[in-house]
Amino acid sequence: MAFIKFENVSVEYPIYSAGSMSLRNTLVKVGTGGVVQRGTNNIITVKALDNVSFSIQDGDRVGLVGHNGAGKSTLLRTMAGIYSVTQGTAATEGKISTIFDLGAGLNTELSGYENIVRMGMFFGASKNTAESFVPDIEEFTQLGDFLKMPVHTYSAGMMTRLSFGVATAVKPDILLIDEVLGAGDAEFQQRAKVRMENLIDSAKIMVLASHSDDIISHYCNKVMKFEHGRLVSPGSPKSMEI
Amino acid sequence: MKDLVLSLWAYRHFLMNSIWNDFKSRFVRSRLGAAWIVFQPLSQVLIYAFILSNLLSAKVPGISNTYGYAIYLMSGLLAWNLFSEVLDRCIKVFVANANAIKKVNFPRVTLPIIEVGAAVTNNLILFAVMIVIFFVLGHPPGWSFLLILLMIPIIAMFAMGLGIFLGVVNVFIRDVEQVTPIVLQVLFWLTPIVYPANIIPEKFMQWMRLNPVYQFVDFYHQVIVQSLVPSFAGVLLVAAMGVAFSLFALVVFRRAGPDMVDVL
Repeated sequence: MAFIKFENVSVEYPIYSAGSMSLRNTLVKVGTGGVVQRGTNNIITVKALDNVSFSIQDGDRVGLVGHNGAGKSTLLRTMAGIYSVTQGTAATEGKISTIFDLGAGLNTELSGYENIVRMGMFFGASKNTAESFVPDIEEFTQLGDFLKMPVHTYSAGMMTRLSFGVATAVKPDILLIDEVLGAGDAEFQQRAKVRMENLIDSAKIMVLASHSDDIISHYCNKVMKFEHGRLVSPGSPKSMEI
Repeated sequence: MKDLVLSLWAYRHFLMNSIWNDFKSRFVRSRLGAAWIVFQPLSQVLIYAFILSNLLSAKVPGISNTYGYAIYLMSGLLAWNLFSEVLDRCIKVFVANANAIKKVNFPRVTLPIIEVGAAVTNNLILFAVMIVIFFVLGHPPGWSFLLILLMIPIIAMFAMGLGIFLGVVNVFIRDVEQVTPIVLQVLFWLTPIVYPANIIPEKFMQWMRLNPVYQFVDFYHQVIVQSLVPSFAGVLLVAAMGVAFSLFALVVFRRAGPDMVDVL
């Protein structure tokens, strides 16, 4: 069973600028992991998540909605364990896969084939599993002989196909997605949609941040709305004005 | 610590793949490819040898070969290049991979390990080429040369510990990356690499022994130039410092990890 359980979670970012910290303070901070310095100096902190509690279980497809800067991406990154909580507890159970930024980790000097295996392993798959992605991604991307060419020779659309293909090849328990749907040409979008639906079906939990009502109502059975870092209302897509 | 080892083990194929790609990417866009791994340090040797050999040729102790000074330079640079490359790569690695650190959940400790692996690979290639050159110059290596293979992990560990710590600080204060080449330049000239240790006045020599870089460069000199099996006392000190730095760096790395993501 997979779950994501947040209890009274707050996440704060300090806004650093070169002038805001003395060398000594920074060294103390690095040495102590920020425990000593936090709150005792003039660093401006932004509360990206403010006392957020919820519980997500198997079968939940959660859409995150809210304005830019409402905390959607921060929440996803906190779920993924990239950001750590300032207060409260965040617990997750299950293998997590993130689709946040399609290009992250792509090595443009390498060929498409080499990148499939490399990225697969980067996302946590074993070598054999990553190699087994190849035929599937070959077929999905329809890049043909271009997969033998270095990725820096690709057009933006081709790069999207490749990175979307790899990112959606890893099968997780918990799938976290941040605004990456709707890339590429119309024909590709149709295939991407099918592939995404299959991936979402195979995951136990899916959390998706999007500004598009269509996408949210298509993929999600629950919605969490955020305003200024606060969870203002949980519910279902139909019951809510989103 | 256990988590760390487990995550490195789980990512072992990714590590090997990335180190191999680092090596291979040298071939992709440059005509001479990996030959630059060797040409860059050797051209340094040629320049120093050309400018300084007449001044110093008689003064390199413990070797009678005509090319004694060139051999002395190469052995010192072999040790220095490993140290400075590992250090430089580890200092830059977190800032250079900011995007991946912020957007993908993977064990971040793999990043400096890849850099160390790539630098060690380059150094092994340089070492192999130098052995060939030593044969050509009429200074065939003896069995004591195998001690160099023991030294490579010790130097790499020492530089990695220092590098990861400075790499973490560099995320918060980017000046570290700018200051490093200057400090390295000073350290290079403070260490007998281009000049022999015996021109240093005795009153400064006691300070020189505190310089860990001198300890391992001197070890290389004794092994390669003089074909001796040196005392391990100085090197053990470097190894102990390497272990201590690395453990300290890992603690700092783990504790500063959450703040690093905020700043990147």
